[in-house]
Parts: sequence; C-alpha cells; structure tokens
Amino acid sequence: MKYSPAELSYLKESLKASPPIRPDARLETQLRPIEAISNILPTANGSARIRASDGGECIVGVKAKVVPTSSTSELINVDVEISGLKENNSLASTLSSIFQSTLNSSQSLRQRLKLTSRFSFKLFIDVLVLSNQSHPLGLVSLTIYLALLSTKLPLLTSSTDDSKAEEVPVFHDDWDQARPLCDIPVTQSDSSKKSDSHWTPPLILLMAVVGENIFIDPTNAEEQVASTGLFISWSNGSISAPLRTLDIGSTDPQGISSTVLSKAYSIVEQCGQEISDSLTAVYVQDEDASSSDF
Amino acid sequence: MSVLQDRRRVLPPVDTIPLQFKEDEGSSGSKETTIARTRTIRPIFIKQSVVANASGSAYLEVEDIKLQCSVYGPKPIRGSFTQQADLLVEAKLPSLGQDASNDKSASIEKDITSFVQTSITPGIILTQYPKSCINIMITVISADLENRNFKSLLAAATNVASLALVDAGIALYDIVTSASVLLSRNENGESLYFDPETPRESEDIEGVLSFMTGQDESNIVGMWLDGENITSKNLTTLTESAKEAACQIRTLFNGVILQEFHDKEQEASNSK
Amino acid sequence: MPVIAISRPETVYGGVSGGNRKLKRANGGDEEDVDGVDELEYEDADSGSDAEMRDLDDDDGDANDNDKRSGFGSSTKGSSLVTPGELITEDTMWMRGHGTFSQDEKTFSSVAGTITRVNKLLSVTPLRGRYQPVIGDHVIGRITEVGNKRWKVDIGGNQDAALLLGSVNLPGGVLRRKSESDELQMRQFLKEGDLLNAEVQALFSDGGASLHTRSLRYGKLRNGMLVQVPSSLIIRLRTQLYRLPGGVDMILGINGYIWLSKSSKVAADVSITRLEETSGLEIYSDTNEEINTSTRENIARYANCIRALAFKEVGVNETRLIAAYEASLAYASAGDLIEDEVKAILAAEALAADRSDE
Repeated sequence: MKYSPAELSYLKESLKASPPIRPDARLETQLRPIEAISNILPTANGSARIRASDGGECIVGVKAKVVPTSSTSELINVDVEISGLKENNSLASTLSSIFQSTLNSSQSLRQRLKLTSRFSFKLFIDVLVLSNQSHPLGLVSLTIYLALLSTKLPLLTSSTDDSKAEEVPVFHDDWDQARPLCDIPVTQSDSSKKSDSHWTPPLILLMAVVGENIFIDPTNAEEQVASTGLFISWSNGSISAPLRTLDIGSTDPQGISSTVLSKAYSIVEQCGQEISDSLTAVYVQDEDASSSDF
Repeated sequence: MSVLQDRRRVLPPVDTIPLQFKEDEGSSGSKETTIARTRTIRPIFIKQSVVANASGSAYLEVEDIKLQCSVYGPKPIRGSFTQQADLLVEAKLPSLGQDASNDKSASIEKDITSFVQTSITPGIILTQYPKSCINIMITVISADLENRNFKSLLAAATNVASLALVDAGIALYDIVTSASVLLSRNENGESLYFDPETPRESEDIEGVLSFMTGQDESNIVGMWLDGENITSKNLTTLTESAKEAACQIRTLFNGVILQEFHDKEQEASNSK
Repeated sequence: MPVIAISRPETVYGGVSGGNRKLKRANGGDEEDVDGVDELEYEDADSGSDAEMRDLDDDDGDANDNDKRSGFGSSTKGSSLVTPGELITEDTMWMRGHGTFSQDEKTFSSVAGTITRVNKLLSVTPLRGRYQPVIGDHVIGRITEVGNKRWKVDIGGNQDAALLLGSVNLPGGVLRRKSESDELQMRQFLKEGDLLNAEVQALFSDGGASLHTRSLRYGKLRNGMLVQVPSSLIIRLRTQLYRLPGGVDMILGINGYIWLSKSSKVAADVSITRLEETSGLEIYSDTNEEINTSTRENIARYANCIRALAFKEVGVNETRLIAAYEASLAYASAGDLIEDEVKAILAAEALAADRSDE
C-alpha cells in the first residue's frame, strides 16, 4: 500500500504528538480486537484460529511426533506459510526462524517434551497466514500461543527410564487421559503460585516506534511511518528473549533512543500478562464448551 | 555416501579415529580469556577495496570470523518509479560440512540478512538515489557457528557492510557500527563482557546492538537480545555498554578509513 | 479499557435446516446487545432471501414452470432482490442493462442485487462489487502510475481511471497551454501515491473512466486522512462536500473513498474568476498546514464512526455520521469505538437519527 506524502506526514505528526493520536484512536497499548478460537483442527494435537479486525487471519496447527532425543537438536519445528507468497519468501522464513529459535530456547518447553531418557516429542508447528494487512508477526504469535495452550499430548504408559534397555514408548489409548502441554492457571490463586513446573508459551509483541512513542500492534499505515519495528517477548510473567528490532517496511527508517527502548520494555511489562490472560480465557471457554457438548 | 566418495583420494581404513592433540597447558578454556578482557574488543583486521569489480567492498577478520562484503550500486532499476533507493542485503555462509542441514544454514543466512538490513538502512541517505537499488553481498568466509558467539558474528557482519558502504562512496548519515555484549549472571553477581567469544550459558543475557554513534539521540538502529528474565536494569546496562563498545569500533574505523585514504594519496604522489 | 478485546466466532454450519437463521446471526453479531439493529438493517435482506426461498420451492415443484415467475414474479412481490441466474422477466419489451443477460429471449440477473427500472431499461445494481463510474461522480482516487501525458488513478473500479494532463489545472492559470515542459515535470504535480478528488468526465467504451480536476473544488488532498468503505454504502447526492462539527471537513467520494480533513478557511466554492489567482504551485503542495490536537482527535473519531457504519453495512451520509459522532462522544476515549459492540450501538444510533429526520 502506497500513501501520499501528505497522508504520511499527517500520520507521523499525529503519532509523534504527546499524547499521540492513532489513526483509529487506539491507545498506545491497545491491540485491535480479534476473534479467536482454539481446537479447530480435530486431527492436530493443538490448534487455533485468530481473525484480526482488519481482515488478517491466521491458523496454527501443532502436531507431535515421538523421536529419539539424540537424533535432533531442535525439538520444535516452526513452518510459516503466508498465502500469496512463495514458500522461500523472506518474510515467511524470518517468521519461522524467529518463532523456532524463541521456542527452542525455552528450557522448560524442552523439559516438557522429554518422554524418556531416550525419546522425546518433537513438535511441528504449522502456521498458515491466510491474509494480512499489516506485519503478521503479532497475529502469528497470538495464534501460536493459543494453539500451544490447546495442545494435548498422549499419556505415556510405559516406563520413563529406558536408559538401560531401549523400549519404544507406549501411550494410553484414551484421549481424555492426555495431558496438556501447558499448565492453565484456572483460578487467581493458582496463577499467583509460580512454581518451576508452571509454564505458558512465550508471547511475542510487535511494536512500532514513531518518534518517542511506541505503538503496540501497528496498522499498515503506522508501520510505514515508523522509525523501526521492535518486538519483545513475554514469557512466564517476565520479559524474555528475544528483544529485537525488525524492518516492518518503514519508508523512513531511523534510529531509536534508549529512552524509547525502556518505554517499550515497560509497555510489554504492563500489558503482556493481560494479553496472555485474555487468550487463556478463550482457551478455557473453548474447553468448557467442548466438554459440555458430551 | 559411497556415491559421493572422492575416488582421487587414498582413503584411510574404516576404523581410523581422528588425531587428537593434547590441550595446551597455557590456554585453559575460552571463558577465562574472556574474563581477562572484559571491557575491550578483540583486535580487528580490516581492509577496504578488496573486490575490484564491486562499487565498494571490505574485508574484516576477528579471530575465526572472516567476512567479506561487496556493495553493488546504486544502479538503476527497471519498472515502476521509486522515490528512494531499494536496499537489498544478502548473506552467504560457507558450506557447513555434512552434518549441518541446509535448512539451518538458510535460517542463519536470513538472521544475518535481517539484522544487517535493519541496522544499516537508517544510516543510508536513500532519498538521494531515486529509482535505483543498492545490493549488499556479505560472504562469511569462515565462522564457527556451533561453538562461538553468534551475536559477535552479527556485529562483525554489520560492521563489514558499513565499511563497504563507505568504500562505495554512498551517501551516509553516519557510519553504523555494531557491538556484541554478554552479561553473565551467576551466584557471584553480574559481570559484563564486550565482544564475547563463547555463547551464553543458561542464565546469561547476550546481545548485539548497532549504533549511529555520531548522533546524540535516537542512535540505536539495531538490536537483538537473547536471554531469559531480562530486567529493565539489564536492558540499560547492555545498551550502554554496547554503545561504549560500538564507539571503540567507530574510532578504530575512522582511523582505518583515513589511513587508507592517506595511503592512496601517498601512492598517487609517488607515482607522479 | 482492556488492552485487547477478544471475541469468539459464532459457529456457522451450512446445510438446509435453519441455515438461513444461523447465517443471519453470523452477520448480525451479538443480537442481545443491540435491540433492533439487526431488524432494521436486515429487513430487506431477510424478505429478499424469503422470496428466494419461495422461488427455490417453486423450482423444486416444477423446474420448468416459469409462468408463476413471469413479469417480475415473486421477486417484486417482496422486494426486487435477485441472485445471479435468476429469471427476471420473459417479457421482450424490456431493454437489458447492466447486471443482466439474456437467453432465449428471457432476461436473467447476472449479479446479486436489486432490480432498477428506468423507463424501459432494466438493470440490476449489485449489492457488492467494485465501484462502477458514472459521468459526473465526485470521486477520490490515488495515483498509481505516471504515464505519457496522463496519470493512472485508482478509484476502486474494475480498472484504473485516466487523468489527462489536459484535464488538470496547472499553476499559472486555467487557460494556459500545456507545454512540453509540463509533460516532463508531471511528477511535480502528481506522483505515485498522491490522493486527489476529481469528477468523472467521460467513460470509455471499455468501462474505464476519464477524470478531470478543472475546478478548485477538485485537486490534490492534504491535511487529513482517508477512510475506505464499500462504494455501495455511498449515495449520490447534490454535494459530496460536508463541513462537520468539530472543525472537520469531509469529502464523500462516490467510490467509497472518504477524505476527512481539517476545515479549510476558504469556502469550498471559489468563483471561477478567482481561480487564476489562487492556482499557484501550492495547490500541488505536499506539506500539511498546522493542525491542532483536537482536530486530529476529531478526525480519528469520525474515521472510527465511519468504520462503525460500514461494519453494520449502514450507508454513510451526513445525518447518520453526525448522529454516530454525537453518540460516540459518550465514550471519552475514541479508542473504545473499535470494538464490535460499540460499533453496533453507533450504527443503531445513526439509523435511528436518520429515521426521525425523515
């Protein structure tokens, strides 16, 4: 989408102002409304679909496979496909690599995928971006988050210690016995208890920097006038890797100051938990709905 | 495998094991050498104008990292009119050997490309070159991707691209320099290292940041931090120290660029 | 205010039984929250689909029995809404216009839309679809290409419109001859991405439009932002220029492109005699005037109101927009207006105001 110089300068002035005025009057920390649903693919271990209000839509399916731990260095494989773009398109492969490295660097996730001393689950996360108006990073991250929340792995019935004798893992037949990949804090008191075993997936939030202001979930027009894109990951109640700058198609890329960086940090600190809680609520609701069906 | 066997070589018996050298007494682990050198960068070898048919080029070497970058352009593009130059960055890795999958090296190439592109774009006055494009090719001649710090490679790649741009005479707002830092966190507290050699351990935070050190404000042009539980204090420490390191590199570059210029002048006057 | 508003999609199943009802629900969103909105808007659509259902029933009974549907058949009984392939008339007296095709002397609809009759001309106006230019339409367009003595302009139609170098006002007066130097510096006047408002001057035989900006009312746009809605939501009126409360001017392009900007000091209608004095190079300026915060806020609020109307498929006009704007003032932060429930409330308010206006 190309804009006229007058539009861009109007937009830039509005966004640079204090307080800034976004083209849709959103607050700096406000995301656009989305429509989310989990568990939409019956044949996958976990799945989710999110529709953004600008018409963007993303579907994620998570499948698990048992592999010998020694055979692979990366237990999570992320493959992003953006419809209308070629498979080796740089946007798609950048997204794949961002999510793959973020998820693989999570020690607790790797721990959770470990089955026995020899075998592990390997997760294949397939992301399909059906349409996107703005940079799909934020949308993809929300969808992956929801899909991982809904991921269930079959219950292991064979022994966990097979270091002496190799033994192919055997699982329980009943899917109702499957264990969820993540722990869902059901009540408030649960979520306040932070134990090592408690784990929720990382959430990557994309922001655009314009002047001294930071805007979460930028629209296409906002991306064009941004100095740079910036993404910060929120994981288990704290800021985690990666923190990165990203080219989001700005027409006039510029450097940012360290004050802006700290501001971005505090914005994610402010709304990271709320976003992850909102998505968790969607999952809990979907679970309730599906269990009441039977 | 047998198909790919090199028939020109006399192959060793199947049960051979590779030669193993005894560790030198003097160098016991790279961690300690890093500690010895906390707030300084490793020595860098740089040379500009190494490729004759490119508009500009540079070579950079820091220990095992050897990079070469050539800049082509600005050259005209065909098709629709553009207000400013298109910038295209491409990174090439050496073949990583047999066990490394192709997929992995492609993703590393993408990581380098995306970081370098984000970092150097703000430094170039693109509006001076409408309807043209600038191609930047970075070739990683050697780098240990398994056991050495990847962030240091990213920093080196950004720096070599900057030098090549200067060599190509492309209009710049500032020379972008990039530096990697590592914040080691353990029971004994935090300690900070410039230009780390080894990858981070589980509790550490590592990162690479690019700066336009000539500008007072808004000078961070690229950033990539990795690590868990990053506090805002950590963020400030890392940014500030990376800036200090980037300034050191900038000073070094200024010296080299001027030196090369003087050398050329000298040559020219001698030939007369 | 929540950081993120998440809704769960309504499950829509295809199939015969109850499909109609469920589809309606999916379109209407949360019915419980806004009483009356869905009824108001979907009144026509509902009766339309009922008519269609009747037709299908007829087909089931006797596929070849077209007698019952002769003339305008059941379609005119309830409403004039037709679907593609539906028989409109067997009567040969009608001239077939846009949106129709003929087979064996019978006239069928080729699009989903409403039947329009002008004297003997029968046409179907599509409910959806791209903008179809009509001579005299005031449209807003974006330059996509600078070509030989002409600009290509995207006006949301099937094809880009042409704006000839001879159809624009150039600096130095209207009656000046276009010189070769003008041809060489076309990009100084209008370049790719620039927005302008113009009038459709002529239509080519292939359906493409030719635009002109030979009035001070037309020309390059600045000092504001663009909102796009489907062109079917804009009605052709005497004027498309409005001055809205809050220091905002609006140009309602017939093609669904709406320009919101700071109110200009100069009256919209400048006499033709003053044209020459005012048309300096500044009419092609890219620099915005000083715009204060409250105007910017109002523009964003109006933009959200327009999006709210479009969300509920409510046609956009001055009365409705002002009503929606006034209703929106109940929300201190205009950022609230992006949520679906709020959009529905605004659209309902706008419709109510419009009805009482009549």
